[in-house]
Amino acid sequence: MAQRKIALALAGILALVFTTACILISTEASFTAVHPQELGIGRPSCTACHSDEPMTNHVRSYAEFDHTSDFISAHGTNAVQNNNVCASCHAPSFCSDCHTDRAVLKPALMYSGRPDKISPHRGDYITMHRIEGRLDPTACFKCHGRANNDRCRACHR
Amino acid sequence: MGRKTILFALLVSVTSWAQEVNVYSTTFAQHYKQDIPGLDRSVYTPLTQFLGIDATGLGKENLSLHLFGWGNFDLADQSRLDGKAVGSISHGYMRYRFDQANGELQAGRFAINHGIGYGQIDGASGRVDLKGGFAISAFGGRSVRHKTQDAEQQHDYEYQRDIIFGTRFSYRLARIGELGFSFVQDGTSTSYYENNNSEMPNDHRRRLAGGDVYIVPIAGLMFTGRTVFDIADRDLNSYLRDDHDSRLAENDYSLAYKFNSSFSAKLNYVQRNLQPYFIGSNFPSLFSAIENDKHRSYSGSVTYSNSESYEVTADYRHIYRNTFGDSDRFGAELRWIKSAMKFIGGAGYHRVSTSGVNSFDPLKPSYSLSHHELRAWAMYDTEKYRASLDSIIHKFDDSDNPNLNGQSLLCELVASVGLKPAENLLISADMTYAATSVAKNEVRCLLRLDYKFGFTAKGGK
Repeated sequence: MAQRKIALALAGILALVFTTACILISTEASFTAVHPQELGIGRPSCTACHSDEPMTNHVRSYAEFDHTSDFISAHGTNAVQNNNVCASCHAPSFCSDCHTDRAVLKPALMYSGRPDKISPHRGDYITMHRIEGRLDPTACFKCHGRANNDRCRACHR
Repeated sequence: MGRKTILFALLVSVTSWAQEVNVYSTTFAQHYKQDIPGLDRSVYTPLTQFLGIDATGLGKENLSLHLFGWGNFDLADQSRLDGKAVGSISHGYMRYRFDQANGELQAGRFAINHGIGYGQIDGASGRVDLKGGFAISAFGGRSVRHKTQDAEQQHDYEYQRDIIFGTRFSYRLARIGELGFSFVQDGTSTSYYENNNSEMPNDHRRRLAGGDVYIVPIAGLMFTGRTVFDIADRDLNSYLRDDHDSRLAENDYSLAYKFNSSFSAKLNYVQRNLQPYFIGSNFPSLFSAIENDKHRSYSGSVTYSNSESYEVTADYRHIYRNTFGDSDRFGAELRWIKSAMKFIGGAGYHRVSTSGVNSFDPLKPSYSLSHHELRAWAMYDTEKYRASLDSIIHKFDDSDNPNLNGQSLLCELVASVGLKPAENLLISADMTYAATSVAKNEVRCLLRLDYKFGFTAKGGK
């Protein structure tokens, strides 16, 4: 019963938000769906081709998306705020390789032939996770706290 | 498994209407033996198939279908807890993308990342830009449940809850930045997990609110971050037992500055209070929200890059955990790119110093976790073949560390060779040698078949 009430309330809120949004909707064109050129292997640097100016139909500049080590370590923020920019180059499966509720292979094994990629759990992670988990358990939680934890249950019950 | 197969087949059949279909397929065949003291000797030969389909222009140009899943079949001993033949659909959804206002609607199974938290849901979502720089997105559905063991064994299964919904509202100002406010609720009823070590059960409902920020006050200077609060109405007697605790789950803020096209620096501050941070876990037996623990980290890095040839990064991180103490991690990495030679290589060294970390192991009250980490790798990639070598070594100061099982030097070496008989086909073989604390000497073999169909020469993967 409570679930039904919440579902109805949610539907009402969504309808209200949708109606209001239709009136207030932006008239700007959407960001491009697909990057027009093929990108090579390795980390792309947008500013290798583009100048440091705002992207077409977007307020962010190309330089902010140069795939430096800093960018990759903080890619989650961009995925939240600018997933349409990510989607112009990356297919949805690019994210699902690592971010899924149920993974069959650790990312480092999936990409064992691509050492240039940052893939979690390279080396003896069975041993290392005992050390790293003690120093910073929140690092484990980001991927395994709510998802992708079926293998953890073998030992952690 | 039957319903999933039918659903998957139905969705695949929909792609016949598409104007453009891209298919990704990767097959892994592995073979390895495990001879762990105290356990039966096992031989594993798992065959794993990944399949992804992106079909665009389904009747209407802006309507698309996205599918990605995997199946695993054990040809010898069972390698997984949940069976010898198992599979999963990671995502499978229809999306309609509007030409105006970055509008988007999607329905099916997909990942949510609307501000707070990450999750895989069966449901629907939408987003749109509003006038004046505002934007709104919302989602609703049910968290994807994965029953991987017998229910009696998986006693925290019920923490994957009945309904999930949330929203993000943001304001964006050109050349200045963006502010976002988010809310997520998972579950409609109180869920209790009774931990044997706790005085009373804890309420694990997940209701979070928070904000994210992105500010570029001047060119090259970026301030990003987010704050998350646990806002569920809980029994305070069982929750906030420490006067210094708060509902604050997380602060994570970074300040980065690009001095010029080659040189940049970044500072990061993270604060996480484990009780409110872990409270929404569907795995409370590991991520115990009962702990009144606190985590802080301060880190910084400087990077010098010449995008044509190399990048060097030096980094330092100080971690504080009030129950275990302080630790430091510092080191440097080099990436070397020779495009003309189709070569990419890299090397890195890090030192983890844990002199301030306390041990609570009753079997061995005092030992060090300090260690060195060394990694070196190289890859040569041409139109016809690819070859790579990757090695990683961990050398521990204290071989008496019981986690190491007497093995103070851990290493892994991976050699991979691949052939590309066609533009979208890669056949590769890996050989891995590992010296670990579990298996003193282990050799693994892996065959990989990568196939891409229908790719247009645009974007990346």
